[in-house]
Amino acid sequence: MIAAAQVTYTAAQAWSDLAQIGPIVAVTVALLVAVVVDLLLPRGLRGPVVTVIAIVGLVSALAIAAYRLVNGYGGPAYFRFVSGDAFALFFEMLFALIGVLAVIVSSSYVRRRGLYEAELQVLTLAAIVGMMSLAAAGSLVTVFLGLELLSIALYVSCGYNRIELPSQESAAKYLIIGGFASAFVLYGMALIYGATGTTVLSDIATRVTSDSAGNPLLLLGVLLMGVGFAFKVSAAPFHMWTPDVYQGAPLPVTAFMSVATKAAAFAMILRVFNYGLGHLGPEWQVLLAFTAAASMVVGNLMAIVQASLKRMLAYSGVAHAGYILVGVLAGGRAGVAAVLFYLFGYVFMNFGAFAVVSTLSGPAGDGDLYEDLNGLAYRNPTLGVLMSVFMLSLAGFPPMVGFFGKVFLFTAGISAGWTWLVVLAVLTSVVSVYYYFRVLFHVWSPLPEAPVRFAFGPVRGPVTVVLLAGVFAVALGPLSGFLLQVGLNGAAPLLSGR
Amino acid sequence: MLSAIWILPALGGLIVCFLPRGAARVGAILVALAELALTLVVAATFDASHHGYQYAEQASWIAQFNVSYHLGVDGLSVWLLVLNALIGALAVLATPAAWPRASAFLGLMLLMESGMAGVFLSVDLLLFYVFWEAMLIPAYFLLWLWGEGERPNYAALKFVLFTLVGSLLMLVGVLGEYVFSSAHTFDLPALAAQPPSPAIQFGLFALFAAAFAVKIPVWPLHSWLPDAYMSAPTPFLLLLAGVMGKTGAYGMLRVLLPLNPHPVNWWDWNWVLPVLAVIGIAWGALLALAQRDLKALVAYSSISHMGFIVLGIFALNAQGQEGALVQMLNHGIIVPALFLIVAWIYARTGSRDRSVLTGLAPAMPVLAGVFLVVTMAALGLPGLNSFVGEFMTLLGAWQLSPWLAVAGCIGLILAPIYMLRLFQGAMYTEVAGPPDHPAEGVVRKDMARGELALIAPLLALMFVLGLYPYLVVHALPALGQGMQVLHW
Amino acid sequence: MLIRRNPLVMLICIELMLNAVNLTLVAFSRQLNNREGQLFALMTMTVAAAEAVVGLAILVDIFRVRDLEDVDDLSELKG
Repeated sequence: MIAAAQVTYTAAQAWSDLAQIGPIVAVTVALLVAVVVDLLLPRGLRGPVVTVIAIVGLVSALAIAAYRLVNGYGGPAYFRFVSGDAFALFFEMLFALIGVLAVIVSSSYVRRRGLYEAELQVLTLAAIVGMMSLAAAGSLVTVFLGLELLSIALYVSCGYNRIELPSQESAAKYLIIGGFASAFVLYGMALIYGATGTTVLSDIATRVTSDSAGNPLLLLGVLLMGVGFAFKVSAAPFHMWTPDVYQGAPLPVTAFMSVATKAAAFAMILRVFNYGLGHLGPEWQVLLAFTAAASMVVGNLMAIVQASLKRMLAYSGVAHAGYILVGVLAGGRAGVAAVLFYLFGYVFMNFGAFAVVSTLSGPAGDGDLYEDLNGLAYRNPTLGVLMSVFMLSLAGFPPMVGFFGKVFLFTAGISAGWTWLVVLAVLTSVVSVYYYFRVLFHVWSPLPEAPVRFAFGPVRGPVTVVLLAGVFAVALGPLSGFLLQVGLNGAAPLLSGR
Repeated sequence: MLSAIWILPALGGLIVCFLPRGAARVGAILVALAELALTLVVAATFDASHHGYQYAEQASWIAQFNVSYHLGVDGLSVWLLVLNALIGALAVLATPAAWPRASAFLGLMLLMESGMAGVFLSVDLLLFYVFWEAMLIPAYFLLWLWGEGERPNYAALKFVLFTLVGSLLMLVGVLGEYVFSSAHTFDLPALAAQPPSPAIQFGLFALFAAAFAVKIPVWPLHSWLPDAYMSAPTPFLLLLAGVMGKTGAYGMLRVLLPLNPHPVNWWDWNWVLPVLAVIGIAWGALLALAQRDLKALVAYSSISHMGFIVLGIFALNAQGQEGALVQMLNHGIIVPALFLIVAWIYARTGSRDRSVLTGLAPAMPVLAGVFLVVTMAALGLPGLNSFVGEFMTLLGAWQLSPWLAVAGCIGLILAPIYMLRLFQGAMYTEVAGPPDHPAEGVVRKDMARGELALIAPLLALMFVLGLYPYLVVHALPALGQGMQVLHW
Repeated sequence: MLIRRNPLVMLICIELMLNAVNLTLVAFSRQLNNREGQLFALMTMTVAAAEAVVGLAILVDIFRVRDLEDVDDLSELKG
């Protein structure tokens, strides 16, 4: 089949295929240029130059994706192994945006911590390429490639702080558990290939009908993939790695991972389950519903007892994965759009919160205890107010974006008959208010009398990022109609195939 | 016009936060007075013969879900808006310039006022919910950062968690209305016209009722109230006790009943709430009897009075609901006055303990006079405002069930006992010790002119509403949307 | 893999799992007479190699900081 097609692969076709993955190409080019530049330049220049290259690459990816989205381009490419549809473009814009924020925050962070700068940016770019491929994947092969590219880049990033054992430990744990999960996913893919005879998602979508529910190969494949995906989105009960890895990894890496990996993994779940295996809904929905419920309960309860902000945010991330799974379960245009909306909003609130914490890092280490936030509102009012905004948004208070995200997710959930799950989500999010407000408590408590562990270094970059994220977290709320429309457009390609 | 009513205090509040102390107070007072003027203009030009929402503003907001930015006033909300603005203005005026972190405090008070105005204005269910939750954020900060007592953080968190459990359940209800009503919209009149099936309504009713019952609060869900009221600083307490509780009762009238009018044939929630209300009336009154602290006494009496309002609402007839609305306004006037007096007594004597305070009247005759009027109003003396509301409420409740009305009367009997005992004890009991040597730090001086001016509007309203309740009641028939159980 | 506690052995186990998948893919490819499986297997081999490289590098890095024979020694971060 492939061999036959290769004969007629023309130059025009090649150009059109390349255009379909334009954003990915832009980031890849930036990545390659950065690697070479890093080798050629004198040591002092490497960091800043690579950072600039990374930002240029990401911004141009953003621009290309936005241009193609506005003009309604997009369709399958490379023998349907990749797709440049609105769904892919939505995520490509999202990842480019996260990338820019991450690059700025880590640039300032590594300088304060005295680490090498250039390599971290290169790794971030590589991870983003992986994520974009994942979102654009049209075939199980591409899904796997994207997944591994992002995972491997992140394993290294987690262990980036080579002199600190926690960082090393985080990397090792992530590597072993991530590798384990990847193997699960891969085995599931192999079984689905065996059952359907194809790896192309749109072919799988047509070949797997509701009659195939009895096929044991298919069911085992779905189960294995589901477990692997649950690992990747850090949904309970496969979340145990998350707090350890988040806590040990350097702060900007944690921040990046917490939002970007989650978004990428959800893009993968939507592509494979909602699109490719849509007709097997009743089968995988049982699995995901259990995972969603467990994530909400475990994530929210465990977050209460944490002393470290990184670990708290990790568990809160588990809980949010549970909420998002409600949208995945609901499916349909409304459900998928709600997931896209929530992921977009989640990026700003969660990344913003991590970026605030990252400003507390100094040469001595990361200030990630609640106590390190004491009196933040008086030490730096901008950061204090914005941290409050992020916490309120994560807790789902209007008029912040987190509230509207929940409204859309839950509406889709109730419409699709998952009312019990929505009620559970609502009750557990009351619990979440407790630990988010605990952050507020420290931020607004009077200045500590003892000298603070971490004073502020030169943090203009992160502050800009925090400001930007804060503005988005607030403004996207009242203007949510627009973003929801973008999400609805992004959801359309997943439904047309069936 | 209506947008200005919530945007003015919101913007004003944000600006005030960043002004220096003195300017902040002046600015906040100006904003609050302008807000009061705005609402008075709306109330004065309100057309009581017109059915439907007036001054309506509608614009599409989230078109995909048929959410619209839809504001309007009707006979139910117009006077509550005025009450909100009035109490807001008094609360700002009651905040001295020397208040700790005064700018932020005043700014947050205005933001909270804005949120509550939004609740009274919204005609869209999601918009209603947004304001409903948004008013909680400033309330939390005000209660926590400026709270009195040992554990303001505990009181604030308890308040937030209690109300959040309710309001997040309401969120499920809000989304449920959208999904299950054939109208597929969040617009209140449209939802009321096409309610979902009774079985669905059964669930939705419970979800909404939980949220409103916590906010009011209705009996078994009231335990946040004493903590919050005890810990709240006086200016904030005016807003919290005077207006915020009313948003719950308003929600019942505006959302809960019209949207879920049909009981399932095997269960009727409409019987549960009046029973709980009556229990609350007795419970609050009995606990008020047992309190030694003046503030706690007023707080528990507040639970008792809110019970009357709920009883009136669920009488499900015109008298009862008219009475409930009148009672909402009355309570919104009387409770702030009581809390102000308690605060003034505390400022003069350094104590709120009923057993310590004695014989204050000779030293402060004006305060005693004011206190007398407020006490009489609180226990429902004819001629003052509460009488009308309580009478109408009980009349309505009688039609529902004489037993409930009789049980509700327990509250009426107990109220004079605790109120008069409080008043007499504090003001007229013989001073035990030598009167010429008051305890250290006790300032026995009468009310200042500013304090009198602060409470004067409340006193005036007690007489006005007592003698001429028609002022408020006549607007009521001009409802924005049909209430199926009502026949005005 | 679940019963081995040495990180190096665990890494080898992951490689074994990936190889098992490869075998499955190739077998399916032969049975279905469809070449996508072989293509998938090639990709997997490449990825597995990359993963092994990174994994070994990370473990070597840890061994430089401290001696480690058992994953339970990795307890700096309490889970």
